[in-house]
This record gives sequence, structure tokens and C-alpha cells, in this order.
Amino acid sequence: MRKKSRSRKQVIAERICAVAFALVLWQVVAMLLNETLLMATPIRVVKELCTLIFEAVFWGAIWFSFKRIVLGFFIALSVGALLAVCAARFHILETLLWPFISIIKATPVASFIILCLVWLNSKNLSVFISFLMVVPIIYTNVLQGILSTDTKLLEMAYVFKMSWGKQFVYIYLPQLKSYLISACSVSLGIAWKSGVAAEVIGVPGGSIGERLYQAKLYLNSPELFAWTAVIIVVSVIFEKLILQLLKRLYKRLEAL
Amino acid sequence: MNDIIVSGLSKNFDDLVVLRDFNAVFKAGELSCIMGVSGGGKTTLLNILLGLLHQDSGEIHGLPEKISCVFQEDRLCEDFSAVTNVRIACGMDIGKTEIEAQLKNVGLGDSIYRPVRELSGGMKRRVAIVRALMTPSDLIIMDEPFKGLDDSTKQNVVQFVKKQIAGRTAIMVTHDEEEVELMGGSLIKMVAANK
Repeated sequence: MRKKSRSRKQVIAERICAVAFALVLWQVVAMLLNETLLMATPIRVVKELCTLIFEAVFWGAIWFSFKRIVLGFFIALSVGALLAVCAARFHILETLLWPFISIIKATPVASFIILCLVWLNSKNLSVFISFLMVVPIIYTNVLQGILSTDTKLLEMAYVFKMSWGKQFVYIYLPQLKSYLISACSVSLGIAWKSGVAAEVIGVPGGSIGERLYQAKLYLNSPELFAWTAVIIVVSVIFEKLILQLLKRLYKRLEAL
Repeated sequence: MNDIIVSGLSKNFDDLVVLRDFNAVFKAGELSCIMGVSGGGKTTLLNILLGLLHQDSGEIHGLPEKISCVFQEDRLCEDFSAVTNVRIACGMDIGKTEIEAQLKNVGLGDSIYRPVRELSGGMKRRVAIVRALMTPSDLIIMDEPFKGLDDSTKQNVVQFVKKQIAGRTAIMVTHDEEEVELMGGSLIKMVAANK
């Protein structure tokens, strides 16, 4: 146990060193270029961030994008899981969904964004785009998890005449744990990337995407880097929160 | 309670003949022990009785609807405790304290609330046995129930099983003649169908 915790500390220390190395490298490259328009130094970006956080618009933009992208993610989580359950039960549905899922996976996100701009208003575009990008990941993982459920356990459930609800809680949910965690881990990052991309192209007023677009328009490299850092931080925090929540839910389930 | 009468039962898996014209009577309220060589169709017969497989030909009469089983493998929900595993199979009519008491009777002691994945093979086997015996049923099927138990634990578990199945219809598959002697009941010897 002690050995395990030491190795975890080592991993954290290694990662901190890697981040420090990346920051130093960034600083050196930016200093060598000596052109703020092309690349701002990390110190300049931190200064820009310090200015931004005191502006009400900053928090407003984060909230605007956060609620839409998170909403898109949760709708995708529900719809993807529901579709997977139905597809596992009815093979015809899996076959019928296959072309849609394949097309969504293969099509560049920019194509969807531009296409959807014709149908939707730019304000809510990020909800739909993050939903669209996350659905196939959740669907594929959950379906794979359900289909790989131990048939011997299902036979046991049949013999003991366990209700569908009990089978769901005691057989399927534990089986889905690793699939759900991995799907959420991958799709949360994708939800943020695609959601912000939709905002950059649709430019809805008051969003992170709009701020990024304006920073690019005015060649304000420090602000561009600062907003990118904000997106990364918010996305990582949200991912950690969701994964922690999932793990806690599973712990509570196991304590039943 | 009726006798279970199996007549002319046959089952093939493609070209492999597993059961050929198998006949047997499992007496109501008694234990029937089935012995036979490996691959002789014992588990296939149990799977047909459990409704997990369909016979190619032959008939089964008197098979009750409520059947519980100790499978050849434990088939437990590994993330949940022994108590939960028993409870989800036997229903909420049977109280938690009764389940706890029975699990303690087979020597599980303090381990009854630990996730089953943390238990040893022998402990898991005992959970599977208690689950089958506590589930209200008119037929108990046991496929090598004492597999993986050490000698002293086995003696204790055999006594527990004997007490629990007294007066109930039970079918037990085993390779061990000593187990048949310990458990009592009638003996049915199966011969390989492809010989």
C-alpha cells in the first residue's frame, strides 16, 4: 500500500516536472521569436489572465459556454445510453443506427457546424454540436459494455427469475462501469473542443468562442492563449468532477 | 410435489452426441445424485432441466416452475456482498438477519458484507450454495457443489446442505463417490452418449 502511494507521488512529481519543462520551452521559444503577435510568453498570458478574471464579461462568457456544452454532454449521455440499451435489445435498431453513427464519427466537426448554422441559431449551436460529437462515443461504449455482459450471469438471473430492474442494477451497471468511465473521460474533452469550435464559427455573443474569435481578429495573442488556457482548465475540472461523481455513484451502488 | 420423469432425452451439438435416449426418474422430496465421466452430458442434462438448453428429442414431465441452482461456476455478482448476492436471488420476503445467519452457518463469519470479489474461491462457493438453498424453490439443482472446498469446510457444508434439502427435491452432479455417500440419496450413473 505504501509502495503504491509512493509511486503515485512519483507520478505527480514527474508530471509537474513535465509541465514545468513545457512552460520553460514555451517561454524560450516565445523569447526567441520575440514577436508577441505570433506567440505570447507564458508570463504575458498569466498577466492577461489576471486582468481578465476581474472582468464580469469573463465569468459571463465561461458561464454561457459552460451551461450549453454541459447540457449538450448530458443530453448525449442520456440519449446515447438509451439508444445503446435499445440497440442491445433489438438488433434491428443497431443495424439501422449503424450508418448514422458511422457518418457522425467520420464527418469533420466543421462540416456539421456550418451545416447546422443553416438550421439553428448560433446561440444554441454549441449544445447541438457537443451533443452530436458525444452521442456516438457514449452509444458505442455502452453498447459494447452491454454486449460483453457475462452470459453465465444472465443465465443465473434467468434461473433465479430476477426482475429486469435487478438485472440492470446488479449485473449490467457493474459491467458498464469501465465502459462508462472511459466513454465519459474521452467525450468530455471532445464536448468542449467541438462546442467551442461551434462558437468560434457561429460567434454567438457573450461566449468563449466569440472572445477567442475576437482575439484572433485583433491579433491579440496573449488573450487568445489566455482563453485557451481557460478552456483547458474548465474542461479538465469538469471532467474530474464527472468522473469522481461516477466513481462515487458506483461506490454507493456496491454498498447496496 | 411430483416425481420428475425424464424419458428419451437426446441432445447433440452439431455432430457431437452429448445425450442419447437418456431416461431417469428423480423422486419427489428426495436427493438424486448423478455420476458419470467428464463430457458425459451431466451439465447438459442440468441445463435442459433449468431451461437454458432445449433437448433435440425426448420429454420431461413433472418439472416444477421454481428451480434454484448451484452452478458449476459460482456465478455471483462480484461487486456486491454475500448478503446482497443471496438477497437479490431469493427475494425480499426472506429477512436480512436470516440470510446473515445462514451465511454464518457455513463459516463466512465477518466476510458477509465484503464484496464477493475479495472472497476466496471456497468462500464464494459457499455463498453460491446458500443462495441456491435459501431461494424458495421446488427443485434444487447442484452441479459439483463442493468443488474447491477443503475437507473440514466440506464436512460442515455437507451437513448444512443435507439439513436444508431435507424433504425437498434435489439433483446433485458429482464426480466424487465419497460425496454421494456423505449426502445419501439415490444414484444415477450416466454413460457417455458417444460410446
